[in-house]
Amino acid sequence: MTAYEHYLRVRDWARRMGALDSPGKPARTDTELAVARALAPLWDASPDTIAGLRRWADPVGGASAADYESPESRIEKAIRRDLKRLFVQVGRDLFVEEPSFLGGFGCRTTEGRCNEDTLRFFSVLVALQDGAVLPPFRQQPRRIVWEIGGGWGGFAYQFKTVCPNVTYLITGNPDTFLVSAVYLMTAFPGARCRFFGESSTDALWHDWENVDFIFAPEEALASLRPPRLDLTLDLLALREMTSERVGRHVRHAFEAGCRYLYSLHQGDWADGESPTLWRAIERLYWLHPVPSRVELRKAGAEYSHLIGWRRKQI
Amino acid sequence: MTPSPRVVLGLAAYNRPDTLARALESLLDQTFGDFAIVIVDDAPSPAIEAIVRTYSSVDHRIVYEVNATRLGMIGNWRRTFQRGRELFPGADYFAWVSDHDVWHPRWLEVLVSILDQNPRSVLAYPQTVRVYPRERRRMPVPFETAGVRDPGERLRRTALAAAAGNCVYGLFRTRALADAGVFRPVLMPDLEILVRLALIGEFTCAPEMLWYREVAGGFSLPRQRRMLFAGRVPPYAYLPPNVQHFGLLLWDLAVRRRGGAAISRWTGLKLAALQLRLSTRRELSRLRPALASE
Repeated sequence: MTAYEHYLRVRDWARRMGALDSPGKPARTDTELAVARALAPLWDASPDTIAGLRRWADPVGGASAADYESPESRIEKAIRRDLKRLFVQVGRDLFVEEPSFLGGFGCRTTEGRCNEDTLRFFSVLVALQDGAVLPPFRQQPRRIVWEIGGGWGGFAYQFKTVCPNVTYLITGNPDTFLVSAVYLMTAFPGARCRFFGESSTDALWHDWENVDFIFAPEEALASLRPPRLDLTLDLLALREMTSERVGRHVRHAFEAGCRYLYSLHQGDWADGESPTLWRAIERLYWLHPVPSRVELRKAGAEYSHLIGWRRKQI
Repeated sequence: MTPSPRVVLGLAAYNRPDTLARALESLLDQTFGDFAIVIVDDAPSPAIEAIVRTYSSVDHRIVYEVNATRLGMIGNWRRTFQRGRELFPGADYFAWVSDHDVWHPRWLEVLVSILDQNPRSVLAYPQTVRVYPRERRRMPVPFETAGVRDPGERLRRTALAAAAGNCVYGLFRTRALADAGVFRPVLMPDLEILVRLALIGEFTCAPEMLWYREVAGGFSLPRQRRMLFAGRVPPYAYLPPNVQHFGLLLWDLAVRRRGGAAISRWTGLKLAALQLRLSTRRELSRLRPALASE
């Protein structure tokens, strides 16, 4: 199937999901409404638009292609410097370059194409490795990973490349799937994908070991009952939510038996940028900041990596 | 007799109600679950007992005992090991755990796997994260002696490079630890036990960061004397620690011919002398920057 054919399938499904008037449907925040407005043209996209889909990642927290149009820009220099430092410290094993399909962009490095997203996702994988979470996901048995929000699909692409033996669940708003689901289905043409609502809730998880991606709207959270859940990922998605929605996501991970919850934070964790978010997670997960390998120095974009270990409820 | 788990964790508790619950949770939530926790409380209080009872009521892997009089850190560490062996004589492995650090859920899984797969290893430990109130720091990659067959070479490397405070919270082969003498009543007993163990087997370091160590208070010999001994401090504890270690090694290897390593008196004498020379060099190298700055 072509990217456009994937798009048509995802769009039909996302329309149905968006039209559902479910009681669990969350009220969108201003940021989410702004994302929805920015992605509105994608509801009626042409094949040419989908061929350059990567450029639509910008509104979903992704890098902007325009930043890479002039060679040796400030961003490019910073990327080369940080990448070099990370390679010296951790090697190249976890690095996944920005692919060229769907309009991939970035600066050329010795290891391939790289932009801020590539580097940020690489640093998340390194943090998961340093936090001793990643190794089991590269082995048997197959595990289930849940990414909250899913962004434009870039981290899922890197994770699934490094750890192919996982079933990757993404929950989010229907409009963001127009980017993430189409991107991932194009990136992994042989991937077996399921969409919430295309079959019964129980059938969603039937034979899950043979499924690569599962896409579901956030309002379906309460009816998602995965047979196991090994890792929950939050790459800046929770910070855009109300505390009630944050609590619902964290509790869902906990009740599904998830052992680890990873959360990416912007800024230094000790400065308490997101105390509400921190407290919501720490009710159910002990949070441990992973010592950083290298600061990502794009102005205002330093990150902290927090890994939560499941608490005992006594 | 209680059926033995594969691992015994000896927790020498001393008045940390603020951190004990979190430490216990991190241990009880290990992915490798075949262990018992033997808690020996050297400063019993209703608060500590309440925390322990909360967890032991839902998890029967916890044993809790209190000391009628304070034993001091050395005495209590020895007591946890001794009670662990009495209660669970079939356990293969032993680790000391504190009442204030936290352990990654995979800590035991990784270390047990290392000792299972490496019969020559007597001690396995992970990389360490130092926990400060506003910061986390990875420790420098620690040393190891995996693959080193010569006991003298292992002793040399241990005396020169071991970060004893990190290694001593690793997972020991119980038999080897007993042969090496557990904790002896000297200053820096962690370094002393590592030197002894180095003669028996290899040390293996896991590449992953699996122990989050709270950093509190600086190191000083007077502080050690207060913490390690209950009541009167023995006069020899005022000698330099490496001289104390040398005396023990000389006595055990060259005089009594004990200590788990099958070596002659003459070799024992040479190894004790080697330990003294290397540890003196190590102490001098630590002092040199301080002296230079003065």
